[in-house]
Amino acid sequence: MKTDRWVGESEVKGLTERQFDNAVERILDGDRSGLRDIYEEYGKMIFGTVMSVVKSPHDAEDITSDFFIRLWSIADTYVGGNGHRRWLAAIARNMAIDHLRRKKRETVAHEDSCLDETPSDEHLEESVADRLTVTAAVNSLEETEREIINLKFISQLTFSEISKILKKPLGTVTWKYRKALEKLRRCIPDEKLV
Amino acid sequence: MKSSFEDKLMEKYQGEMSQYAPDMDKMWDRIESGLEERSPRAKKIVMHSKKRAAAIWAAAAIILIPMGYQALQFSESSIKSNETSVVDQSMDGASNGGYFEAAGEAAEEFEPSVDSSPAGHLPEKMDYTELKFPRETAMSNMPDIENECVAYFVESEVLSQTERFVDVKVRSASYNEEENAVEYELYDVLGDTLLNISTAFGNGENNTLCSNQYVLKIGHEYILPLGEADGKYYIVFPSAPQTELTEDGYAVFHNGWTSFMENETAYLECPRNGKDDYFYDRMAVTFAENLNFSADESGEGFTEKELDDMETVDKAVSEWLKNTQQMPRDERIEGAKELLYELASEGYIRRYSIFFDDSNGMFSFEYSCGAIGRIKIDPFDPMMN
Repeated sequence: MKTDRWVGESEVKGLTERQFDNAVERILDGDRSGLRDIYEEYGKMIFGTVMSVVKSPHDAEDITSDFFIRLWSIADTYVGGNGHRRWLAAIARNMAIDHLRRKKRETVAHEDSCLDETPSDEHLEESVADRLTVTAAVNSLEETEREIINLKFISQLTFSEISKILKKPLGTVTWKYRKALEKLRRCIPDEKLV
Repeated sequence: MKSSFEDKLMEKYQGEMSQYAPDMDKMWDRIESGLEERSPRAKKIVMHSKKRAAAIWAAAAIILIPMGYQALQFSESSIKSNETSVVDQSMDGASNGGYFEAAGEAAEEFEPSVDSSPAGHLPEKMDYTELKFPRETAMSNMPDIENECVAYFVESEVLSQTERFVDVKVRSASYNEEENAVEYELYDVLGDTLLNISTAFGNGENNTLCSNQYVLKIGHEYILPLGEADGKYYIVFPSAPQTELTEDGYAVFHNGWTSFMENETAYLECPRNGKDDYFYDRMAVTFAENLNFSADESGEGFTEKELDDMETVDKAVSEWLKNTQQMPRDERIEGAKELLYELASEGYIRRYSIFFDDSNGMFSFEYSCGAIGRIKIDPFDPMMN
């Protein structure tokens, strides 16, 4: 069975590579409209990426601001053709991680029985599911699974891009993604997603 | 294609995340106030080609030993290279007398074209004949098996069984009549180990092979999903074309791998391999690097130590060649075998990467850094190359 999706622009929203290159060129020329265009397109994505790591809206806002200020300075380090979205997400993620390290804050993984590998009590699952938001459920995942879900859902990266950022083989990324979805599906019934 | 649950989950998660988002206009004001003036400066965006180059070192009249792997029946060495033009030139032999120039250039900077598109865009369609595969080596004892295939490839189910993905070259494949199974010896390229895997024939269910048209080809390189049961690895869903890496930097796979389809892909026109070939019109191709099965993606080129190590191997081989030119072929093979094993034991060569192609008297191996090395045993014959 053929698929009708072979080549062309990604279905994911955002600038094309050429548009991004153009924006960077404008930044290098000292034109703030280049940065503004990137901000307009990716500001929320960057915020979401950072937020998924630091889990503090206030800190995420600070880091996101710093990100774009820094982007203005380091635009000349961008190498065209390597996937700008991945480049942006990688920098944002690293800044968020650095922030956490500076604050010596640890992310606590909730040991929720609902997300364990072994099936848990049905009644417990139901009560937990009632309380859990998707955010809380994602935060309860194992670290790599959580990172992959965030990079996929929030940063909107492809599996290939995720594998490069996390430095893990693509097969591992896709496998862990599916595992994470299975866990989330056990906790979050369809009606909760309406 | 994403499931409905996946779509809804993503949408809900994004919605929850956006609740925390600040006023973006105010944030821009804050950002803009923090920007320093920058003077315009001329800067072109340069694009780097992939820094993994195949360094092909040569030595004259090298003798290499079959390494005891008599089952190794490459009709042509399967050599992976990321610099196709260099390999092709070398394979021709005519331009350089059969000896190979080192092709260890790291990065190549070049000006982008006018439209500044990334280098290496795929066309909408490619033809199977455009791709470069190792010459096929037929298995001598493989019967013609064709069972009714009832299994259906579903990526999520395959992934749920997969313990790991491996990048392997098929060193041998033979049919075990008693077990009604194909037995493979696979060289794990990244792990530099050997894997012995058996795949039984059946109807495609329970990870059986329904047809010998899906049997892995000797000398070819694949990305395989492996499951584990009772301490043994098995190929998950063998009744389909496996993801294959070509010699010219592409990856060929069937479009049931929806994850792979997220990369830039081209439709691959393939010949139909019999009336029971259900995949011939479902094949796709992407750049091998997009699949990124190597954990090491530094792409920084060779380090000084790596270059020194390669030179150590080269010097050792060259010295050996010089001293053994008059020796009978078999003895040279034996001696070179000892040399290469010794270099492998010291970590200069990947032990299980050493292959010998008797048909052209050529050894190939991988240096510890992953670059390809080739050594020719027999004198170059312009009539044969």
